[in-house]
Amino acid sequence: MPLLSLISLNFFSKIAFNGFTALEQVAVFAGETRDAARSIFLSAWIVAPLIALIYILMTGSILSYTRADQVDLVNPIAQVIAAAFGGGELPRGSVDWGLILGRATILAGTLAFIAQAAVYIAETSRLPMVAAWDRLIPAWFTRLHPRYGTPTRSLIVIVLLGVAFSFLASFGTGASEAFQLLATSSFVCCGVNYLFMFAIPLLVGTRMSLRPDLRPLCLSAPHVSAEHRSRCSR
Amino acid sequence: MERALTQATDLAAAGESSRHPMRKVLGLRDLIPMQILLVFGPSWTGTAAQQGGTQVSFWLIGSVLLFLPVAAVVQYCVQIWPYEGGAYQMEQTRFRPFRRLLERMESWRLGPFDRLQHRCPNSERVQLCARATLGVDRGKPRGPLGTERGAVRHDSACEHPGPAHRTLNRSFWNRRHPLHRRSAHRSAVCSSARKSSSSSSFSAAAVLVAVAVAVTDQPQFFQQNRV
Repeated sequence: MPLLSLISLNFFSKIAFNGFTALEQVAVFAGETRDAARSIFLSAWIVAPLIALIYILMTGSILSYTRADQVDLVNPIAQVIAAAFGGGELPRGSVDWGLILGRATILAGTLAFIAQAAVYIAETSRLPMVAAWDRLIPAWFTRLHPRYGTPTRSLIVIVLLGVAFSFLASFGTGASEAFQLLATSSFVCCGVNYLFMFAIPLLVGTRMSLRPDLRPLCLSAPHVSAEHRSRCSR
Repeated sequence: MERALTQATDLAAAGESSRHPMRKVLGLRDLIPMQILLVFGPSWTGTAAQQGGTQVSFWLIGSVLLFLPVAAVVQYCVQIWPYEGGAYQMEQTRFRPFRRLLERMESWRLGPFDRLQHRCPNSERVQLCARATLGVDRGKPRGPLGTERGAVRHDSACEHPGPAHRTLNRSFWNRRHPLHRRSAHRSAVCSSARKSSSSSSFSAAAVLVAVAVAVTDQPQFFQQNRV
């Protein structure tokens, strides 16, 4: 067990908040999901233990090949691949399986990063469209592709904004600083979002639930008067 | 119970899909890899690895204290609001009264007619409220905003009946505020509401940017302390 100190608390909040958030982002696609409530509910509870397991195994594999104080914070994957599959003298004519596996891993990792970026862009592009439905931004963003039903204009704007922010964050900085700047800014915004999201069930959300049994517990208690029930359920 | 839930969410989703033509093409098989791609960040494994053998405890405590509560909140909110937009829709639906409060701070300065309009943020509803106040639809069956029944969508944004039916003495109001003055006043109020809403959004954005700039020296702190 880790020692309880301010530093360990700081570290814990950093990896917990950065590594374990974003489960709610798939809810952005709720309007495009069949039986959205059930599907998102099931996916969240299936993925939660899977992600924890992936993190533990991956961190363990990094520690198998690299000392804790020599871990590269920016790109630990490349470091562990180089340590695991690189080096070593081989007899002439034998197949270098380490090299092949290393390259395959790098290829798989690249594909995963591309897929991750695609999902992030798809998710983010839905938000201007929904905001335009609510008339917060121009209705220009609501146009869907006639065949695929995707918000093409939102997609274009989000991609251009992403490219612009990447260039802006990289001006006059190294990779590490740019990464930290983008990550910190995005997580501050994400933190504000989480404050509001957790406030929904804690403070105000249940009063308008479609299900009576999701409304505040006091409403289902037998001693609550009919007047109070009707006032709360309004 | 599950059946009731499905029916309730289907009703809500049907209302949503009737308003916006999004195709329902995603299923559970699509959502699971999407969740993994969205949540998993490989760079944080390096940060955790710096802690050595205690990393397992950190990951397990983190999953219990943050991951599972987030999953519970997401499940709870999606059951109630299965709409496109996710957290935006949930927060927008629940905290609209807060936004309305910000707008009303401006409206108290401008008079009771304005308060009526601030209760109906969309231009369509502003128009309907104005028709109700002016008595254009007098004698017709009344909906929640005092207009023709069925003209207004019955959702949470329409939960207020509008003050025209409760608080305002219409004849006194008409004598004191002639129609031409009211129209000019109404457009002034609309632009004022838009400005106050935009200014609050810009203020919030400015605060966020300031906080983001202020905490960018966090990496140096971590590097110095070798966390």
